[in-house]
Amino acid sequence: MKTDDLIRALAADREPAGPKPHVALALAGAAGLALSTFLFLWLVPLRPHLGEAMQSWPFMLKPVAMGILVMAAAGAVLRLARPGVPLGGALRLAAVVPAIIVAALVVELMQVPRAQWLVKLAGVHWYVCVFNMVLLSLPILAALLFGLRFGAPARPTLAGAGAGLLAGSLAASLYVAHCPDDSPIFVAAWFTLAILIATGIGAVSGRRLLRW
Amino acid sequence: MKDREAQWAELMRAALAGDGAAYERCLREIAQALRPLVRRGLMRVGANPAETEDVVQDILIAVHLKRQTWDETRPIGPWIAGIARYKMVDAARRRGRRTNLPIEDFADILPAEGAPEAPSERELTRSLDLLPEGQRKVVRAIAIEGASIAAAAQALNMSEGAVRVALHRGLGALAKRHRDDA
Repeated sequence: MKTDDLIRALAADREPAGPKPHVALALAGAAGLALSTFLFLWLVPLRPHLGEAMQSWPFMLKPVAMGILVMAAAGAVLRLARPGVPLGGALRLAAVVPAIIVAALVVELMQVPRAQWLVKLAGVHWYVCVFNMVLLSLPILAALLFGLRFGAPARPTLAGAGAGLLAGSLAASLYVAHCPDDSPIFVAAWFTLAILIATGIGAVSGRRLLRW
Repeated sequence: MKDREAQWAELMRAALAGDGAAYERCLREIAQALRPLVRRGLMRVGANPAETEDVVQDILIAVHLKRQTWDETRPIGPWIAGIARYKMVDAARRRGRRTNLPIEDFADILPAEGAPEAPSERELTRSLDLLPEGQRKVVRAIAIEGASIAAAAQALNMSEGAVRVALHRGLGALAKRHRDDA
């Protein structure tokens, strides 16, 4: 088929082009988040005295850091969904989060005696925390990847990683309402690990699923 | 050169609002601008420049199927360049070559030098042969014989709705034809 013929066929095709990528991503993301929220409430109890905890800075570190990460990752995913759109300031915003966590970690390490460091690191059950956060990220990640298929990510691996980062930070934000461990030592190690795992799963899936 | 991009943007906006003639013109002009760029890109990665038209067609199908991903508030040039670059890298990768296309080459997709380049002589009929019979007949009638939807429906004894769906699915299948063997 010659190119002129192809163009004639393309122009004749008036089937609707599908939803805009940001609409698809918003709807899919909301559905995934709703699913993960139900899963979270079914899986683990809310932490007691949640309102009181919100008065303390080590606790508040978690929602604040995760909130910034969610915003940065969401911005990145929306931009990566369209060809020819630069990433912009999303990475710089995301970089604020490790900076905050490292600063909190330094303060914590200066205040807590060395003998307590490992205890803080282990928390109540660090492996359950990591496992649950990764688990809760999966419905969101699946939904975001589905939404991204309505876009045209020119960098599928990176777009998948962005979706993983967003899913991981949303899952971690949910899990904050249960997680009994507030020490920055714990957060720096296990929140980071869980979010990195979600990001990695996103990158690998994006590479396979987001080609167009 | 910016004028041309602005003109494409205008044509594409009209196309998205349902103007078929503007759409055809827009795609033709984009194809013409892409041709020399794609040929140069293929030569640079050591691929066969005879595949130029094939890759141009891949890009046009992607532009069509992904037209909802153009943000109308943004310039259209980088959007087309992003799609073109993705499909070029894809073509180079299919040939098992590691490639690192410098992005500057695609930053501005407008051809620098003069005369428009004619498509290569090679006819790409094989792409239609991969379609299931129903879709192939519909795409052939509309693309090659230049039939309207209504005329194709009558000739093939199908409803117009069925012709529209077969055309759309056929174009989708053409977009996927490389994906499975990659």
